[in-house]
Amino acid sequence: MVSLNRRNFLKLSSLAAGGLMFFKPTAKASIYTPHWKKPAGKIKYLPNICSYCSTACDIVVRARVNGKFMKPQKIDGNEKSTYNRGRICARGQSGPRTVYNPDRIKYPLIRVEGSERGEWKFKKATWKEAMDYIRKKIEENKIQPHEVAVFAGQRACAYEKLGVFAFSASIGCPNIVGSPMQHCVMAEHAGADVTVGTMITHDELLVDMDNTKVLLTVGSNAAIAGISVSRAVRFARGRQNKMTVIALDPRLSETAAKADKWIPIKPGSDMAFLMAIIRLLIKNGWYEDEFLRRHTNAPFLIYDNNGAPFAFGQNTNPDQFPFSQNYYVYDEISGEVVPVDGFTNDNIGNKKIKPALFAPKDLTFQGKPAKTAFDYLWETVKDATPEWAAKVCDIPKEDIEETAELLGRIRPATVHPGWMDGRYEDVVQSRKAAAIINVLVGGVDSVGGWVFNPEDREGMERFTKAYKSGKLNNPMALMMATAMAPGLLGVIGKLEGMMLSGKFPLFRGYPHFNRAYYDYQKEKYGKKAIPFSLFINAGFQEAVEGKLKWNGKPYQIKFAYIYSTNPLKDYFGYKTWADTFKNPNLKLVVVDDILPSDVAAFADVILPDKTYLEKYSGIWIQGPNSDLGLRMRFPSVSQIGDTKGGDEVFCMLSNALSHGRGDYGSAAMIVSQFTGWDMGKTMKELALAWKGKKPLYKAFRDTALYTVSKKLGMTPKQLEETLEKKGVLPLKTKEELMEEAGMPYKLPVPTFSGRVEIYSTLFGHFNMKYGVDPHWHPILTYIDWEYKKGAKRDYKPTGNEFFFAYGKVPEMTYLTTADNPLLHSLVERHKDENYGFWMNPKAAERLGLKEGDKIEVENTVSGQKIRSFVHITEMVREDTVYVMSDFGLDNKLLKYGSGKGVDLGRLIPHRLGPVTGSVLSCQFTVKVRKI
Amino acid sequence: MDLVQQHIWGWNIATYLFFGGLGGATMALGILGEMRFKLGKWFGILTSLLGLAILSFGLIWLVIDLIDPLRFLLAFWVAGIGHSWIARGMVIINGAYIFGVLYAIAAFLEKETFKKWMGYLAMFCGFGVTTYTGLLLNANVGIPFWHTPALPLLFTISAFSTGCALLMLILAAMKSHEAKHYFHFIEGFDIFLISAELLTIFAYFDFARLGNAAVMKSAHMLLANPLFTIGFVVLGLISPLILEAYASVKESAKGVALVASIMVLIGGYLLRYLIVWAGVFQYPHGLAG
Amino acid sequence: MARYGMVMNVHACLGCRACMAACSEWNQTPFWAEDFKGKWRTRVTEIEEGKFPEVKRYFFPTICMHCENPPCHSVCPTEATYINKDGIVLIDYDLCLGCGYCIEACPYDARYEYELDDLKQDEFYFGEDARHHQAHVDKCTFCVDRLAEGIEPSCAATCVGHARIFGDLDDPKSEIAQLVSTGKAKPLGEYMGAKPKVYYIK
Repeated sequence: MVSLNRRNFLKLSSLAAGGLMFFKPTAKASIYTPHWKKPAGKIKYLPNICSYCSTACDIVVRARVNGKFMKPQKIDGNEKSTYNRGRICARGQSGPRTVYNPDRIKYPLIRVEGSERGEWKFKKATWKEAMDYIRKKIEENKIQPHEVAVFAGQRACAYEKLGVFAFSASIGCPNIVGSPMQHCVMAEHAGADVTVGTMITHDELLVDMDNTKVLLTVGSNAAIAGISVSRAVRFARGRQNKMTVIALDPRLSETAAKADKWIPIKPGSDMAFLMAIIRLLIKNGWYEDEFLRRHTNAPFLIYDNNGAPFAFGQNTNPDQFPFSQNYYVYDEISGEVVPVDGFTNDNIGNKKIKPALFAPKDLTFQGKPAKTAFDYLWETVKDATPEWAAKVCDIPKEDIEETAELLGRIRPATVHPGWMDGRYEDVVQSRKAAAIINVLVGGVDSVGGWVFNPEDREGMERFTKAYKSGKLNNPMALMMATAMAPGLLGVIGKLEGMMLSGKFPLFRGYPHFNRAYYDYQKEKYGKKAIPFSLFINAGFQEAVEGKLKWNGKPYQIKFAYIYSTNPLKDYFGYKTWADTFKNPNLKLVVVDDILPSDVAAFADVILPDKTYLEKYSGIWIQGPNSDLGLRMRFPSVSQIGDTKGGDEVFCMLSNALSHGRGDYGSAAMIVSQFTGWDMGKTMKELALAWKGKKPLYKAFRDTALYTVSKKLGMTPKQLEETLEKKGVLPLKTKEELMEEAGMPYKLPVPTFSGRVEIYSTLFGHFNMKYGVDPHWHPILTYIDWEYKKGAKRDYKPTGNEFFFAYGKVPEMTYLTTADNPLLHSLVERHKDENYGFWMNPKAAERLGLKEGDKIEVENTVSGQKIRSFVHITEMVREDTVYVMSDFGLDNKLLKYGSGKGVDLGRLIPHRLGPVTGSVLSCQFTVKVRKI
Repeated sequence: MDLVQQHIWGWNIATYLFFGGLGGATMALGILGEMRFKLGKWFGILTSLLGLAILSFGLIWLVIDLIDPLRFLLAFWVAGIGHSWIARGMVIINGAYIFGVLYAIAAFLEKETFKKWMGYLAMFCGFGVTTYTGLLLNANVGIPFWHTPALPLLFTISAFSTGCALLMLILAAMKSHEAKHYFHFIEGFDIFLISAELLTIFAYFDFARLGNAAVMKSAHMLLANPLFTIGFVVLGLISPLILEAYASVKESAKGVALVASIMVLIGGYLLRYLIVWAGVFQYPHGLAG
Repeated sequence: MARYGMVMNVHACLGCRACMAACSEWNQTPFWAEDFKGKWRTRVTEIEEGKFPEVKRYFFPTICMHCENPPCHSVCPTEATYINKDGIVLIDYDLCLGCGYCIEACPYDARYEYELDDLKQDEFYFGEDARHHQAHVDKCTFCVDRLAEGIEPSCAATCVGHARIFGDLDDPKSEIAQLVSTGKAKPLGEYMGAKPKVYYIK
C-alpha cells in the first residue's frame, strides 16, 4: 500500500514550496502501480469466443463488474481449452480496444436527404426512425423477399450463421452472400473438399501437427503463423517434436521463416510442384497401399466419357445428387470386375477381394475400355518429372526430390494445401493435388494427419444411418438430409437443393440470383456456370442493373443488407462495387457494422452492431477442434451507446419485409434442423425474438441451454453455470473420437461415394450437368493458363514487369481489426513491410529504386494503377512483388486505419474464375514505375 | 551488435552539464582568487554567488528535462547515494549552495577563520560539481563512448577551462594589481588546461579508433560533424590556445585573451552537447527496434 | 522467495506479436506514443539475414532482463528502482524523479518515459481503469500483480509459439531452470556484467 506520508509529500512536491529538505518518504511500496483511486467493482472472469478471425479461439475476459456495469480489462486464452490451449494472438488480446474504439458507430444513422451515396452525410437517428425509414422504402418500392440480398460478412459467416439462415427462411429470401464466400472459402477448399469431403483449412478441420513428422505447407501462412492460433500452437508443438517443415511460398512468410526448408516457388506454379511430388510418390511406391485400396476410390473403374473420366456405375442424371447404387473395382484375387457399394467407407468390408490400384492393360468393362482412377492419376503425372517441374517453378529440382522423399519415407507426413494465397485459374486443381498427396501418404483422420472435427463425425453418423435405412428414398428427404449433412454433402445439398434449383418451397420458386446470372451468361456469352458456388456474389452487379430474368420475369435486387463486411475492399474491384452500390436501381442499402467501413459511406441507413463481448450466443462446439467440447459466449460489456446485435436486426428486417409478420416458424424449422435443437422450444423462443421481446442471441442461448442440458442430463441452469465457470465443457478427446468414429475407417466421409476420393464423383457430376471442363477435372489435370495474353506458365517477366503475390500480416484480419488502435500501433512499428511493395534488392537496383521510393504499380491485364512505395528485402523472389492485403481502408472516419497501405481492390479487378467464382487475384503481372 | 544513438538526453542536459560545470568552477576559482591572490572580500562574495547563480541556471534545465518537472523535489530524496551519481551530485550541489552561501556571509561579516573553512569546503564542492558531470555520463554501461575513464577527466578539464575563461572576463574589467596578477595566473592555467584537453581529446579519439563498434560510431559521428571539428576543436580549443599563448607573451593583448575566453566558453558548451549527442547504445543483436 | 526469469526461444517465436498486445492491454503501455510507433515494455523485432534464397528471417523478442546487477538500479538517485524479494526489478512510481538516467544506463533498452501526455492518453483509452496517474519511467514488471494472483506474466501466458518460458530459476524442476542449467539458454551481452535473468536460445 502507498502510505499517506509519501502521497502528501508528492502533493507538496507539486506545490513546489519551500522548506524542502524536511520530508521523509516511507519504506518501499509493495505494489508497483499505486492506484490512487481504484475503480469500483469486483473482478469477474467471463468466458467468450474470440471474433477476430474464423479460428474462433476460446477466451476468458477479465471484467470489472459493478452492479449492472461491466467493463473488460484484459482478455486471455482459456487455459481449459484444448483448442487454442490458453493462447490467443494480438488481435484477440486487443479486443477491448475495438469495443471502446473512439471511431465506433454508436447510434443508427440515416443518410441526409439529397446527398449522394458515398459522400458520408448522415444524421443521428433512433432505432425507431431508422426502422421507419427502412419500412417506408420497402413499401414505396414494393420490395419482395427475393429482391433482397444479404451480405453476411466475416462475423455473420463465422458466428451468426444461424441468424442469417433464420432470416432467410423467415422471409423466403434465397439471396445470401457469405463473406466473400467464393474467395474466402470455396476456391480455398474445393479441391481438398472434393477429396476428403470436408473443408480443410478454414473452419472445419485441424491438422494434427503435434504428431506430424513431415509437413509440407503450400503457402498457408494465414492458416499457421499468419496467424490461426489453434493451428499455430500445434505447429509450434510439432516443431518442438522435431517436425520437418517444408514451405512453398514466393516470399519468406512467418511460416516459411520457421520452416526447415523454404522453397521460393514462382507464383502460380504450385500445381507443377505438386504433380511432380505425386509422380515421385507413385513411382517409388511411397504411398499407403492398403489405405488406398480399402478406403479411397482409387481402385474405381473409370471410363472416358466425352473426354472426361467418369466412374462406371455413377448416377448419370444431372438433376440428381451424384449418389450411386454401385461402383466397380477390379479384384486382383479373382481377376474379375466386382461391384462395390455406392455409399460406404470400405471397398472390401467382409468380402474376400483385393481391389486393384492398377487395372490390367486392355481391361474392358461394359464394352468400354476401363482403367482405375489411380491409373488415370498416374497417367496425368507420369510426365511431370522433377526437371520439368523445376523449370516451371523456377527452383532447383533437388528441392522437389528431397520434398518427395521426406513425404514418402517418413510417417506421419501431411500437407497444408493453402489458405488466403494467390488465386489462379487452376487453384481448385492444385488444392486437389495437395489433398491427393495427403491421401497418398495416409494423412486422413490419422495421428499426425488431417483430423475431422466431432461435428462432422456426428453428422456423418446421422446421415449414414438415415441413408442406409432407406428413409432417404424420397427426393425431398434426401435433399434435406444432404443439405444438413456436414462438409461437402452439406454444401452441395444446400447449393443444388436449395439455392440454385429454384424449386425449394421455402423460397417461393426463386433461386439465388447466381442461377439467373448463369442462365444470362450462358445465353449471352455461351459461358459455363460456376458450379461450386454456395453463397457467392457472382451476378450481383447484373442483378442490380436489371439484366437478369427468372421464369421470363425480371429478377432484380433492390435492397442490399450488408452485415459486417466491406465489399468495396474485400471482394476486389473497388470501382465495380462502388458503382453498383451507387446504382439508383438499388432502392435501399443498409449497412450494419461496428465501425464506419468504406461501404458504410454508400448506405442509406447505418445500424450500429454489438461486438462479441457484448452478447450471448447459442451453445457451439469448439469449431474445428479435434476434441469434442461445448462452449458459449457470456457478455462482459454493459450497453454501449444505442447498439443492437446484428441478429436482432435480422428479426426487425424480417418483420419489415413481411409487413410485421416474419415467418419465424420456418426460421425455427431451419434452425432446429441445423442444430438438432428441440423444435417446440426453438419455435417458442424465436417467437419472442421476432416479437422484439428478447434479442435473438438470447433466444438462441435459451434454446440451446434447454436442449443441450437435456442431452447431458443436467438442468439448463447447471449447464449455464458450468459453461460460465469453465468456458469450455470438454466431452470427448480426439483419441476417443478417432477410435469410435474414425473417418473413413469406421464411417464414410462426407463425399458422395463415402470414400476418400481420388476421382471426384462430384466433379464427374459437374461434367454431366454443366459440360466438360478441365477446371473441374474429376481426377487431376494440368491447365496451361496464361498470366496475361501470351504469357504462358513458363513466362519470365523482365524489365519493370513482375509477378504479383499478396498475403496477410498476423496482427490483422481486414476491417475487423484495421482500425484497432493497438493493432494499428503494432503494424506501424514495421510499417515499411506492411504498407509497401516488397521487392528483391536485385530488382530494385535494376529499376534504380531505393527503400521507401514512391512507385506506381500497374496491372498489365486490367490496367488498374495504384500508388505505393517500395520496401526492399531479400525475402522475396526477384521476379515477384509482394504486398500485404490487410490495409487500404478509405473511410476517413477510421482514425487509425484510413489511408494506410495498399487497397488490393484497386489493383485486382473483379474477374471471377471458374469452378468457385473466386477472383483471379494474382493471375496477371504488374509493371512498377518510379514516381 | 545493434548501434542506436541515444535520444533521451539532448540540449537540456547538455546545458545543465555546461552551466553546472561552469558554475562549480567559477565558484572554486573565485574563492581561490580571493583566498590566495588577495582579490578582496567582494570579489570572493560576488564570484561565489555568481558561480551559484550559474549553477542554479543550469539546474533549471535539468528540472525542465524531468518527465514531470513538478516532481523535482524528489531530487532531494537521495537514497541512492551509495551508487547513483545523480544522488551524489545532488549532495555535492547542496554542499556547494550551503558552503558557498556561508562563505559569502562569512566574507561579508569578515569572520576570517570561519570564512577560511567555508571557503575550502565550498571550493571542494565546486570542484566536485565540475567533476561529477563527467562521472554522471560515465556510469552508463550501455554507451561505451561515455563509459570510459577519460570522460570525467575531459569534462573536469573543460569545466575548469570555461571557469577560467569566465574569470578572465571578470578580471579583465578589474584594475587592481592583484587582478592583473591573478589574470595572468588564470591565463597560464587555462593554457595548461586547454593543452591537457587537447591531449585528452586526442587520446580519446585514438582509443575510439580501435575501440568497439559503438565507440567507433560515436567517434565517426563526431568527426563528421562540423560543429565538432570546426566549432569545438578549431574554434573552441586550438584557436583560443593560440590566442591565449599569444596574449600571454604580449603584455597589451588583453583583448585577444578576452576573445579567446569567449571562444572557450562556446567551445565548452558545444563539447557538452556533442558528447551527449554522440552517445551510442551498443545493444546485443536483435534488441534494438 | 523465488528467482523469476524468462527464457526466450528465438527459434520458436512466430512473430505474431501477441505478447506486445497482451502486455500493452494489461500494463497500459503507451501504444499511442510517437505517432503510434508506441512505447513498449516488450518488443518483437524482426531480423533479416543473408541473401535470397539463403535468407533467414528471425523474430527477436525482448523484455527487461531483470538483471541481478542492474545498471538502472545503480544509477537511480532515489532508489525508486529496486529489486523485490523475487528478484524482479521494479520501479516505485512514487519515488521516481523522472530524470531518465536509468533509461540511459540500461544496456538492454528496456525502459521508457511515461510522459504527461501519455497519462492523458491512458485515461482516454482506458477510462477510469487507467493505471498510470503520475509521470514516471516505465518498464516490465514480469506482471508482478498477475504473479500475486497466481497467473503467469501476460506475454508468456499468451505466447503462441511457446517462445517465452517463464518460471523460477531456483526451482530445478522448472522448464526454465533446466534450459538454463543445461546451457541451452544464455543471457545476452554478458560482458556488460549486469547478470540478466532473461536467457536466450538462439
